[in-house]
Amino acid sequence: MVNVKIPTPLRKFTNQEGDVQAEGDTVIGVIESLEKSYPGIKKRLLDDNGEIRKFINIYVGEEDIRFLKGKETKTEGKEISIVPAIAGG
Amino acid sequence: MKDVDNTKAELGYVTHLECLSCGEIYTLERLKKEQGTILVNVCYDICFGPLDVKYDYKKLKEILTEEELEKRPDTFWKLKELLPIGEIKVSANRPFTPLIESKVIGKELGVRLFLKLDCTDALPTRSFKDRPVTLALNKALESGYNSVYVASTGNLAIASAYFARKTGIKPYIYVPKSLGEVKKDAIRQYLSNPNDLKEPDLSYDDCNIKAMSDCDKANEESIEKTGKRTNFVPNNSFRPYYKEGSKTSGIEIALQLKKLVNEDKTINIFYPLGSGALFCSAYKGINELKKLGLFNNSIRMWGVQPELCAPIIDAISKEDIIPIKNPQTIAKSIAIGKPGSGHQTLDIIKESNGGGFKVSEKDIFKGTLDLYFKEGIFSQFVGGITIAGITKAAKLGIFKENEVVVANITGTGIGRIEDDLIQYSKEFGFEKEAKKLLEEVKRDG
Repeated sequence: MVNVKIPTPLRKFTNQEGDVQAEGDTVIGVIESLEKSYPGIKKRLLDDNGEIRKFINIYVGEEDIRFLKGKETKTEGKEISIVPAIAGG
Repeated sequence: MKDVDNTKAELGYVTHLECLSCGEIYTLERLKKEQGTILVNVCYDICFGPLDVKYDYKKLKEILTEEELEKRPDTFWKLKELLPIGEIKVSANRPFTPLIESKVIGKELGVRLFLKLDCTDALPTRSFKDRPVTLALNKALESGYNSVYVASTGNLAIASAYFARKTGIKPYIYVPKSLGEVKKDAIRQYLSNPNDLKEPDLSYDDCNIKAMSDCDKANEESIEKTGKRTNFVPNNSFRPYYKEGSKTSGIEIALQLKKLVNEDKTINIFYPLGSGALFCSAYKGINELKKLGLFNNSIRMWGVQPELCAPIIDAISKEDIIPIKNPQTIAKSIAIGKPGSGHQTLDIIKESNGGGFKVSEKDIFKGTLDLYFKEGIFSQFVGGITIAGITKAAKLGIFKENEVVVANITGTGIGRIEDDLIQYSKEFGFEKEAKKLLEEVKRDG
């Protein structure tokens, strides 16, 4: 089980919980597990092609998965954070 | 949902917010009903994409006529109906920033080069950030917010500190402890309480996270006490509205050039690219003028990035934007590895038949020196990058003879890059020039 940090706009799926538990060895596994517990959340995280939406950042521990192996990144028991992209400038 | 601030489901000529990624439409009534405020920052219901403010252009066409514009002074709020505010509360009479014709560089390159000077004191903190921050602070005052949280390593922090003081809003400014003293002093000069500058031993990204999390905590407390949010992060909490402030950059350029060049001339507009937000907002402003029949020239939009951090320019020939981890360039204000408005920037480059250039660190440094020694303008390295990009384009034969080109010089060098000028001048072989520049700037105050 890993802890997943849920951003405010997605808490309507998690009964307003900001921290939830999920199973899965990879990020995509965690997303599938979240969908089982909280139906509807997957569609908010993945686009129609099954890719992580452009404007969502997912971190495994401190690392942005875009710099690792994307949705196939191993979770290794680390906390997963889902963070809407913050635009600079 | 209960109201969380004083915003109403009615705002001038604004009709709705629209997601730039998935197209979802949020009417102001829907936002008030679902969020208790119209001040939302992303497409919260579908894809987290950026939201864009849309207006009733049919009605605006009746109001914003050539005759009406003639009567109005050239101020930041000249086309206030095209901005998402109720009442003007900040910098009511601030003038347009100057647009001047280049004395030397344009002739050398064989083009009619205009310099748009957001680095002058027409903007109180001498950077384009005054534009979006003005809008955000105006929104805050209208909507009952009284504390601003911001993390930045330069222009945004300085602009936020200045406007917070002007408007009586309490600032909480976060900068990495490691930030140079020159910049810290530039922020402190506007703070009534020096303790409002927080210097955690964190990276910029972590400062950003801390500012947002402290803002969230403060809002939880204020909601518990008063039922209302009173704290905001200008470039995040009010993002769609904040961005509209940068639209004025494009609007001013179009209205100023209209008096200087014929309608049949194509105008090439160059911006330095960090997140791409200014570039996109400026383009939006120009297009809105076109929609209202107030500007007819065709424009081509060009972006310039450092070779060391060019995720947007690289993506012109690739399929997607590949983020850059820990980008290192002397043009620090555009060292953004994950550009938030990158996709939109690419669409605009394509739509306007423009393009993009990458330039070396040495050319950025040289461009900054050229701006000073040839045009008398001491800008940040982002000014140098724009000049370097235009020089590269001219050498590649992109422009016809005497074609109209605009260089956006988006921030002053004063109080921002003196330490970097010294530090890097040796590396690029410009020690003598950098020393001379700094001596002259110091002498001339």
